[in-house]
Formats: sequence, C-alpha cells, structure tokens
Amino acid sequence: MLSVRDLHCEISNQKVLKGLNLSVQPGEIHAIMGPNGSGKSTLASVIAGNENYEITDGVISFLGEDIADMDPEERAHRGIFLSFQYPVEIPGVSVSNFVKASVTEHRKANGLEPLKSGDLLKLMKANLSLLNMGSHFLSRSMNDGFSGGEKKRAEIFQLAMLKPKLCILDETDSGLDIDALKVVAQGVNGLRSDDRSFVIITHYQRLLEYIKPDYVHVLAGGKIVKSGDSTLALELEENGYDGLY
Amino acid sequence: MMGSINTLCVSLKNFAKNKKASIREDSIIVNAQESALNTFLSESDSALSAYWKDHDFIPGFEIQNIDQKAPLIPKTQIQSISANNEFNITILNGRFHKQFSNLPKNINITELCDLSDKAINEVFDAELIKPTKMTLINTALVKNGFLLEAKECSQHRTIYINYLNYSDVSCFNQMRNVYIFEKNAQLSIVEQFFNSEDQPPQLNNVVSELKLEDDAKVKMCSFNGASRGLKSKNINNTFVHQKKHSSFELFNIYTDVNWIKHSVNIVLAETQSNCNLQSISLLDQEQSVNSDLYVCHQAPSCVSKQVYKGIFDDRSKGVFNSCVLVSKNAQNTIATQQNNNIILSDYAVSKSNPQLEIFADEVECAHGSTVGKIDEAALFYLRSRGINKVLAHSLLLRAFLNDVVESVANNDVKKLVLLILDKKLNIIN
Repeated sequence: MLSVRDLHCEISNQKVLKGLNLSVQPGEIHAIMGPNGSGKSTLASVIAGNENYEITDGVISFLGEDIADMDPEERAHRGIFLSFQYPVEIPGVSVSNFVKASVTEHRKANGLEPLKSGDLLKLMKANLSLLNMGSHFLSRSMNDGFSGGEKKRAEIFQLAMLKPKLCILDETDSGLDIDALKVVAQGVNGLRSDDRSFVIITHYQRLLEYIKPDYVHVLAGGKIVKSGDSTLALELEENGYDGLY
Repeated sequence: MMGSINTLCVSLKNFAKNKKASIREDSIIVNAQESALNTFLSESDSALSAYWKDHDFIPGFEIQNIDQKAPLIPKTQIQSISANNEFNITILNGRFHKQFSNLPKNINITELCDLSDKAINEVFDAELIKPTKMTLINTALVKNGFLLEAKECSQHRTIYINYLNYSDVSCFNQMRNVYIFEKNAQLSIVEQFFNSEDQPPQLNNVVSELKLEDDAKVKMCSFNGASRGLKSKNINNTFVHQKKHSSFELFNIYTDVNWIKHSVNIVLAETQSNCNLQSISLLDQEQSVNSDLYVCHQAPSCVSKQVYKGIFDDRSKGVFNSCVLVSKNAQNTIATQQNNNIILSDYAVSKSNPQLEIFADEVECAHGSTVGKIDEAALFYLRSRGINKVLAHSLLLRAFLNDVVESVANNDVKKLVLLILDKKLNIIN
C-alpha cells in the first residue's frame, strides 16, 4: 500500500530524512519508534504532504502512485490520514462543520453523493460515543479548549468518520492517561481491517500493548536502522536506543 | 480632481457671505453655524489643503454641491425595505418620513428643523463634540438630522434605521443625529444604508451624538456595505457620553465599502459605566477603512473594551488608531484594546496604533495588536482532512472573525452578519 524508497528530505536547508525505506502492506500495523529528533514526525508530515518539507531524493508511492507532487487534500482523498501530534485549534469552526466539510470533500472527490444531514449527524454521534465523547462536542470549536486527551480522541473520531486506507498516528499516546489510552486503542482496534493499514509513531511501548503491531521499526539519524516484530518494542524498552546507530 | 478642496472652500466662503442659515432662521442656530464656518475658514487655504492631503481626505471627485435636492425615491422601494422589520425609522435623502416608519411607544423622533430652542442646544453641544475640521463643517452646513429620545423601558427592543439616498449628482452631505437615552432606557439600533444604482460619488459627513443617562443600555450595529455607495466616501463622527451604570455597545461591519473614516469618541463620565467597541473589516480592491477611537475614563470602576479585526486583500487599507485615556481619579478601571489583522496580498496595508495613557494607579489595562498571514499549520491541518486549499483558507478567515461575530447579542442581526461574511468568503453551507 505504502512504499517509501530511499527518501531524503529537508526543511529550511536542514537534512532530516537521509535515505528512509519503509514498506506497508494492506492490513498491517507498523510501529515506528526512535530517539527525539530522529525524524519520526517529519516522516508523518511528508507522507501527509506538508509543503514545508522538500523531498530531495527518493520516492513515496501510495497504492502504486507516486504522491510526491500531490497536494495534502489530494492525498487525503486517496485515503491517507494523519492523526496530528499537536492537533491545531480552530476557534470559530465547530467540530460538526469541520467534519461535515471534510466528509463532503472526500465524497465529492471520490464521486460519491453527499450524505444527508440526518445520516451524517447520526454517524457523527455514533463515532463520538465510541470514543466516550458526548455529542456536545459537535457544537464546540474544533480542538479549542480541549484537554490533551480530548484532542487525541477527536483525531481518532475524524479517522472513524473518514475511514482512510492508511492511518498515520503521530504520537497519539503522548499526554494520555491510561483510561484515555485504552479508549483510543479501542477506537483504533475497532477500525482494523484487511484493507486498512496503520503506522503508529510512538516513544513508548505502552500503546503497543493495546494495539499489537505486526512490525516495529527504529528510526534514528534520519533512516530506519532496525526492524523486527513486536518483541523489538520490549527490547527497546529494556535497552534503549544505544548501539543502534 | 484635486480642485475639490478649492471648490469646497469657494462654496463655503460664498455660503458665509450670503449668510444662508441651514436649519432655521433663528439666532441660536445662525450663530452656532456662522461661528463654526468662520473657525473652519480661519485656516489658510494651503493649510486646509495640506490637512486634507495628510489625512487622505481628498475626495477624488469634484464636489459640485453643498445644497442640493435629491430625486424622489420610488415608494415600492421604500416599502420593500421598511416592511422587513417590526420597528424601523426611514430616512429618505436625509429627511425622516413618519409614514414609512414604525416606532415603539417609548421612542420619539423630531427633525432638527422642528426642534425647540432648548433641544437645539443639545444638538450643538460644543462640550461633547470635538471641534475637528469635519465636525466644524458639519455644524456650519448641516440641514438634515434628527433627535431621537428614548424613554425608560422594561423591554429591550430593536429598531432599524434605514437610510435611503438617491442623489443624482455628487454632493457633500451633512447630517447630525442626536440620541438621548433617559434613565433606564434600553434600545438596540441597527443602521442600514441603501443607495440608488450607479449613484455618482457622495461625500457624506455625519455627526452622531449619543447621551446615555443612568442605567441606560444601548447597542448600535452598522452594516457598512456596498449599499453605502460604491464610490462614495463616508466620514462618521460619533460622540458618546455615558452616565453611571450605563452600557454602550458598538458593532461595525465593513465589506464592499469604498472609503470610510469613522471616529468614535466615548466619555465614561460616571462610575460603573461600560463600553464595548467591536468591528470587522473585510476589504479588497482599493477599499479603505480608517478607525479612530478615543475612550476617556473619567470616573472610577468603568470598563472599556475594543476588539477590531481586519482582513485586507489586493490594495485595501485598514487603519486602527486608538487612544484610551484613564484619568487620575479613574481607579479600578478595566480597559482593553485589541486589534488583529490578516494581510492577504503584497500590497494590502494595515496600520495599527493602540495607545494607553494611564494616570490612575489601581487599573487593569491591556492592549495588543497583530498583523500577519493565515496560520500555515492550521491550513495544513484542514487540507490534510481533504478540505481544498481555497475552502480551508475561507474557513480560517471566518474563524479569525469569530469572537467579534459572537459579540453580537441579537440573533437576527448575527444571522445577517454571518450571511454577509459567508457570501464574501465563499463559504456555502
């Protein structure tokens, strides 16, 4: 589904990714761990299409297509979703209007008829309750005044609404208490399927106890230096990243 | 084009020579008007020219007329506008028309020409009105205007003042409106402006005085849009005097205007009075809005708040000049000034100058001003959700204005504001 080959990228003339390789098949869950500043969030941003980063070499292809020149919204329409590490606050745009605009644009781009208001509302309420969020969130401004946990759950709510093919979760567990973590993990696990893949970026092994990855990679110094199965996460927890790069 | 200031001065001098009284032939008015005219003309022509040039007043068209009758407005047009609201005041070419208006019981309107001597003194209140060049001309030349008196009322009603102007020549129009709110009076006023299509440019100079007695609660909303005349220039001078426990809210929205200079002067004369000034400018092309605010805290425990937000595209221009003066005995003052601007093009201009002059010790005063572009991180966030760049842009601009929109308490008025914004920003719900 996702194929990243020898990816080099930089921001403000600083090299961040230096030859990264990653391959994700449909239905797989990949965890990416690594020390601070290694380029984990950069990888997530670049796949999602953040124009602040310049790709200097390498290829990113999604579902067989080279996406390097595609706008972020085009990538979203094709099925890429990024759950932000720091979700942006948008006072004045309600959660319901935000999600409605997003769902409408997705359906339009994929040749689908827009959902009837009533159906959309039902769907939004149902997905909110899966994440233990009351429907009063719909009238609140997007992420405005939300706690850390609420922001992360709102990201998974959007994921549930948009049903993407590739879900990149950028440090979704940071700032979450155990209960919020369980709710998020439940939400994610509920969306697992044979044609949906997850790339989970995290520092801690904790989330991976609830969302069992098929593969674990270590990103250090701008590239993936080690890959393994879920036991690698436990190893890293014990020994840290020393000696890997 | 630049002959306009000279034309104006010549007209004014002839006017003075012929001693033509504007409102009535009695000494109070004649003296007040003559005195104002002479003060204005006492400056040399070159000084006046320099002043107008510096203040970007040069009208850009020939001022042909100071005193001109305007053509009749079709009745159907008037009725279609006045029928929209329960309570309304219809002003046609500067004249109040009772037959097209509907006033609540506690409101009384008298035109300037019909005022008693006592009342006319309120109108030419030299203490309240700062003698600037434009207010002097207004005093000297004004013919049209009204006195609105609001008595105590338990219900807070909304009245729409609809100004229809159908001049077919370029005119320099003066108007002076005085509002007196008695003790415990409460009222919301919504101003709307309608002009004939293809109307030649007007230069409108309006002086408004609002006097709030104890516990009066007044909200004023002005829709300054295309209907103000696509090529016209508007100079608004608002003077507000507030007695104790009174509250005054002012909301201005500027979209598709041509050129407006609005000076708002508020005196919080007695304790526990408060004022809240909010404004939205959404400008493009060569449009220009200049806001000049002055709030004077003369008494303790008063609250003043200003939130002015502007979005400027193309070669438009926004100026925010604001001075809050807290006098020595105005202890426990709370005053905030906030001006935020977004620039969308390389040639748009935003000038922001908030000032606080504080002479009391126990006060809470804050001011802040920002000028910037749209937040890139927010734009990326929306686009990553599949929202296209143009819509994402519009949603963020709409979000930027949100707190000012929310400050409008009246839901009907708020809906009107949202309609204008969503149309201008191309947001279709």
